[in-house]
Amino acid sequence: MLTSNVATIALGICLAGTAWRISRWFRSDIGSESDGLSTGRRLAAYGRALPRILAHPRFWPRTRIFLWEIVLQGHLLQQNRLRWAMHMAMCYGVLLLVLLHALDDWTAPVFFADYYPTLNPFRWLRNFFAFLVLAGVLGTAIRHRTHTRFKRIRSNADRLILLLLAVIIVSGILLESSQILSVSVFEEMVEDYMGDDDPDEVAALRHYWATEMGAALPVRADERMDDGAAGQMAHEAYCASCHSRPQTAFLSYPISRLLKPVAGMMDALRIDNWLWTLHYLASCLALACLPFSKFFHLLATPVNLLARAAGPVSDGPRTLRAARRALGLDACTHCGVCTEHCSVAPFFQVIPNPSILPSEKLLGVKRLAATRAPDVEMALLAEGSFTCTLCGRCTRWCPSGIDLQDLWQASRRDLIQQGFPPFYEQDAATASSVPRASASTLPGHPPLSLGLTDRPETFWACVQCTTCTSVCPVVAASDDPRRDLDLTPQQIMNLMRLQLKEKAFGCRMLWDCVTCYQCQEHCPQNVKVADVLYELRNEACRRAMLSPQAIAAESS
Amino acid sequence: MKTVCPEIECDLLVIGTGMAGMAAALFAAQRGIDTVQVGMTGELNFASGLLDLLGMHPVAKAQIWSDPWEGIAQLIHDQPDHPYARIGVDTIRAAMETFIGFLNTAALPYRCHAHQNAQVITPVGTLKTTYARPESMAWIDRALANRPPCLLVDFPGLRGFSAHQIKAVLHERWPDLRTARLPFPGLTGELQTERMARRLETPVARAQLADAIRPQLGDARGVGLPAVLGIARTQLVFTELQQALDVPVFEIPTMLPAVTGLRLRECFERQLPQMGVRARYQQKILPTPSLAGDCFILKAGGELPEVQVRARAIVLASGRFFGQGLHADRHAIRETIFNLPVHQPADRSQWHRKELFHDEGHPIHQAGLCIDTQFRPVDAQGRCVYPNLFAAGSILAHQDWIRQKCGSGLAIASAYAAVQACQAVLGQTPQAATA
Amino acid sequence: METQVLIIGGGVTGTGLVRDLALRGVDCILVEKQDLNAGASGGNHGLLHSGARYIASDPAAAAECHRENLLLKKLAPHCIEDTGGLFVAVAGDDEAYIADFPQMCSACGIPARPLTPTEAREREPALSDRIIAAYAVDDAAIDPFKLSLDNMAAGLQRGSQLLRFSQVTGFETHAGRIRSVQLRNTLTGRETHVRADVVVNASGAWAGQVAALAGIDIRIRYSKGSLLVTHHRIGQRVINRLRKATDGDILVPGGTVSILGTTSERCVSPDVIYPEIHEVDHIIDEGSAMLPVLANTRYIRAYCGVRPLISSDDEEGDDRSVSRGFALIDHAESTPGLDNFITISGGKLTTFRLMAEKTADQVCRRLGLCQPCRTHMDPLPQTGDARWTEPGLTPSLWIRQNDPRDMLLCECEMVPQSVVDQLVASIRKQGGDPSLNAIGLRSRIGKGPCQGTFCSQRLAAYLYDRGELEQDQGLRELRSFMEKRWRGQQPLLWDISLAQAELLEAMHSGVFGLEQLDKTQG
Repeated sequence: MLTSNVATIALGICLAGTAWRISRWFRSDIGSESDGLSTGRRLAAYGRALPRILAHPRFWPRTRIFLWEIVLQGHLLQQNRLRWAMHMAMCYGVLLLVLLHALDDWTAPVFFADYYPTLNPFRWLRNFFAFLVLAGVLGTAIRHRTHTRFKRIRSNADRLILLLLAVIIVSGILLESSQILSVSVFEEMVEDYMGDDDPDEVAALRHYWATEMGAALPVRADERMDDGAAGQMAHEAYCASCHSRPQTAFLSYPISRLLKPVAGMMDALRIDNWLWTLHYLASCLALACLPFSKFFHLLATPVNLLARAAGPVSDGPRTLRAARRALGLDACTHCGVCTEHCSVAPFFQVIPNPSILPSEKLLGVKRLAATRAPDVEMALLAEGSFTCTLCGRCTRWCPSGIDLQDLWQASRRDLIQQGFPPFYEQDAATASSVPRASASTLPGHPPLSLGLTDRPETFWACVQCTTCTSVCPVVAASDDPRRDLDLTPQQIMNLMRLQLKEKAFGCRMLWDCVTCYQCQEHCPQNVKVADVLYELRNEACRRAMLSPQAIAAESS
Repeated sequence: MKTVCPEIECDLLVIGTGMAGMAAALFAAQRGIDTVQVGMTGELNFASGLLDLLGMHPVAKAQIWSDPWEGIAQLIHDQPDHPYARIGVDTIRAAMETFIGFLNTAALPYRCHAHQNAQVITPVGTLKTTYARPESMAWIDRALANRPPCLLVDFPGLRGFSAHQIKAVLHERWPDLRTARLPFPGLTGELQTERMARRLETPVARAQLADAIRPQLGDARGVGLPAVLGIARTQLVFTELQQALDVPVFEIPTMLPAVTGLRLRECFERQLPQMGVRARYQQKILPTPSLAGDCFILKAGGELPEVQVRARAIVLASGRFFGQGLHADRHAIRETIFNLPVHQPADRSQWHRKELFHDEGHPIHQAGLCIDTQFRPVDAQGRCVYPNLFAAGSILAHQDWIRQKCGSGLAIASAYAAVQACQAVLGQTPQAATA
Repeated sequence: METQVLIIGGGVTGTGLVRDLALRGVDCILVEKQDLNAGASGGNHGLLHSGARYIASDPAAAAECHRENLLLKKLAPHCIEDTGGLFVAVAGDDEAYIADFPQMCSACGIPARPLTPTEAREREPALSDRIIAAYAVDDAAIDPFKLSLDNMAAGLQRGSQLLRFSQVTGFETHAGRIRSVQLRNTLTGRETHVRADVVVNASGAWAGQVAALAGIDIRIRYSKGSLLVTHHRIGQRVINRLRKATDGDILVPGGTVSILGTTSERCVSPDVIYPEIHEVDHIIDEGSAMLPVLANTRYIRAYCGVRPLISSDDEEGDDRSVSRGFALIDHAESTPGLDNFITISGGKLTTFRLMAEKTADQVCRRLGLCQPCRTHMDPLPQTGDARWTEPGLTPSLWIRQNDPRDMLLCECEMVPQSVVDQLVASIRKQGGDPSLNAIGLRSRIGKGPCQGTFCSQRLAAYLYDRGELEQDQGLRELRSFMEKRWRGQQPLLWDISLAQAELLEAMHSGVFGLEQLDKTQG
């Protein structure tokens, strides 16, 4: 059969694609830490690591993660209940349809002795699952239109797969409707199961199916005189063991009622066959596309969540890091939560480079991992990459558990190798990798500061009006600045005025500042707020590079 | 090092972006005068957003006027030097009507009675007399008369605004107040009014706020909120919240800098450039201006000059000490841009009184620029300093806008009069040859 | 009420006396007509003298200062920042005095180490390049608020009582003794009587007024001294002008600020005193000869105190030439004689402990007790009550605790809600009402550059929310708080401070309309 061949081919593509994607975890090198390691050696490293991981005492506590994060999608539940409900509906709707409907030939006999797709509760359940998926898809589509703070650019592949999903579900529902209505199907079944030995009995059955089972069979006036008893007896004798009443198909039955006026035409064209073919091919196509679309996250995200339970990527052995990063890239569902919480996202309003937004930057990193050719796109990625303040908020919020922080740092290293240097460097990791020097080995090192923070007149004019805090886009991007940033710009200025500079170095506001100069431009008293923040950052970096003795020598 | 920067020419340069500067630029644009405006924005952030006309006179008696026009007539009679006396009642009226009319067309509706002052509730719970106030505060007058049961809402994290305090202070005038402290939708921790207002411009936050208030309503026939109902879309936020709650909603101003001032600022920054004003916000006039024939030549910029402005006339609305139009050292007060003669007390010991809330107010507030009938600054002998330099707003002498509660009225009316006088002068002088 | 000793005046002397007596097991009540340190104890430099300033005018007092200086550094280190001090002379200063200085110091046993002008400028770069001589001495900065609060707390712990806002209105005398003291609560107007075995008048500049209530005439001259607080700390050490003591010649660091003073002006009453504008200008002009930066720096506050100078005759001349030593008067010898009435007045912050000791000795003699003094041996315990006046402490703790719900009420000095909660609790525990002024006195609220513009209403709103304030009580307190801050601001309003004051008025008068409070409206 052509159809089964198609299915086999689709399955083949799906499996091959999955294998290819998984193999990429061990081939791509993000962060340039796998120099000289072949794919085989990396695989072997994983092979060696796996038993250790499984035997690790923390592995079993991880089953809780499996339950909470993967089965119940707890991370999403904590963030937004509506989104969680929609995602759960889609996820479990599809999963159950695949299990109990698409694969019913194999799965049903295992669980149910008397399974038949047109029997209840299976018929009702199928409709219910379809309803879940449709509700999820619809809800998500509406939410994307109304609820995003930043309009995200969605890829065509994502749109295609959503469309495909909708086509599968809608064609399935229509298929069932057309089958309920179809006279031809009825005739075929009668022929197969009853023969035409008793025309009266067939007529009674026809009448019963026309009135009770929703089929679009013509009912003659004289037959109306018959009581339904004969039809019901025939139905029970021949049909009832496989056919529940279709009214329980709460999606397709009402649609079949709507379509009844055109049922004759549909039947003449054998629309049901066409719909079946469409439904089947669309499903095969979806299967084939699965590993190549974002729906690969069905596999990658759970795996990533489990892997992430082992801790941040940079804590793990070097040999495993690149693979975990690649896994992280695949685990991204492009949901945009990171962008919603990004502290430099406001920059996007000034510089419309999508790579500033973490959800889009990740796409760029995927490209970077695949090709290594420097081009315009790469330059844009570099701009976005080095705009990032590494505040870590995206990592904290990511529902797929991707260690984005690590990914950004790794991709920055790659970008530098590719010849895209940072326009300013504040990467603590890079700073600490610079060999420690004493003040004496930095002869004539020009002071990085303008000396603003040490001069009291810098802060004299402040009248405490909070304008700098009110206009700060980084503060605006946070739901709770004290939680996310520790101190507001105004509070940092007051710490400087109170000569408590040391207290300001650790605060996240300093490092999340996007140096947009809004604060400074809006200050009614011309306090150089942004310059001060910039200077503090430089000073913190310089201190990180100098040895403690050098600092002590300098400050005495 | 001498920097060369591009030059722009204009008929009128308005210096200042406070209430008077914005009003002057508006009136000039409406009259079709080719106008450039320079000044650091943000001055209007410190405006209360209430358009005071005249609340109190004489200050020593703390006499409050329910009809501001009657009060102005008395003021003009008692203080012939007061800028209001120079402007005249008819011009003040025309200025206010034009100004409020503009705001109403610019989606920032203000309400006032022609012959009556209004009252609004302040964040400490006192009542403030003002003339025109945002539509969102207009219901307060009626509520103070009828005293219906009302709910006052505040938010944890909005420091300096306590519904409980307002209720306690207003207790005798309005006994039937209840309070509710509700979490602000989507924001926790320390709240800034600007962030709150921007948040409420999203439909989700509005719906959440209405949902949070609704169960608290009970028998309340009105709901009072801190003034955070949106900035550019305040009208939408206000009406939508009112519809969602199905009772009148009113705003209570917050501490300065308040959203109510920010609304005015954003409104002008949006509208004036559309009306043809060449606005150079975020720049200031740098020292020292020079004269070339009949024209002033001034440099504007941030730290360094970015542009040179050649102006045939100037309206100076640079404000007082906070606006940096005036500056004082230990010995004297001077005007910062043109070093114009400043009318001031003999020495510093007479600037302020020993009590902050002294009945008479502080003499330093009467200091400022003296003007002739054409609103041109004059020297000690009463001679006009420059024929084409006009002054408006709080920089003018012989007034105490804080105590007399006449800040906005003074700014708007003097700007109107100054632009009027300026137009007459511009009309007389021959157009520049290049025109 | 009844007690063994009633002490009038809650300054450093009064509170020091409470502790001294409490340590000897004597029961006392301290009455104060305002709040602690409302008089000169709160209106001084906060300088722990090395003694070198008085070597010429009063060598005995100088030596006393030196001894107490060493003792306090040992016993109350938490109230002291041991900055060290400099005496510097500027070109044009009296050469003879400069030449005599080291010899006069050693005569009083006061260590003074000579420095070259270059060395002095290396230590204090803000010094003028016109310095011609410099000596290092043992000056230090001392916090008189902490001192009083800790002394009082030590007394309270041993059963003494404190009555704030209690003014003495009269004495009932009988047979040459005070039988009872009449008190009036200045807030509520309620009158009470206290019977005491001995009454000590430690009311400082008000000593004459209090004694007059008992019919005793003490001649007191009032010498007002004004001081300026700079916006930031200038110099690490106490810096004195090396010349005969006069105006504007001491700069004392205090946490994050420095205090420049002082003046000496005769005034007629200790009650209504203001730092005057001519004094401010004079101090700045004098001080900037020594430290040129003082001419252009920003000042955030001016304040003044009255030195009570007990004089035997009506001699004219500089009040500084009158001894800064203290006077202990047992009124048994006065006319009319009162057996159980003692006045302690004069003296200096540095010698407060010694004054308390001598007074307590006299009290014990009158009570017939012979318990020895212990304040020269027992360290002054540190209590939590006083800690919040220390600049820079609240921000450090607030950042360390990092509680996102604990919001700052005062941004300038970074005072969070949790500190106000603690202060309210401690004021309540002492039986007081947590008014804005009471909280202001015990914390840094309102002491930063905004001088209450924003924090005053934030604090009022917070107290309303806590249920500490009712009806329009908060508005009155707000107004009174702002008036108190204004006293210190008003002579300093030029440049940036003037802009700040304009914003303050625009908000508190323009918007809030606080000037209309209690006036007929409309």
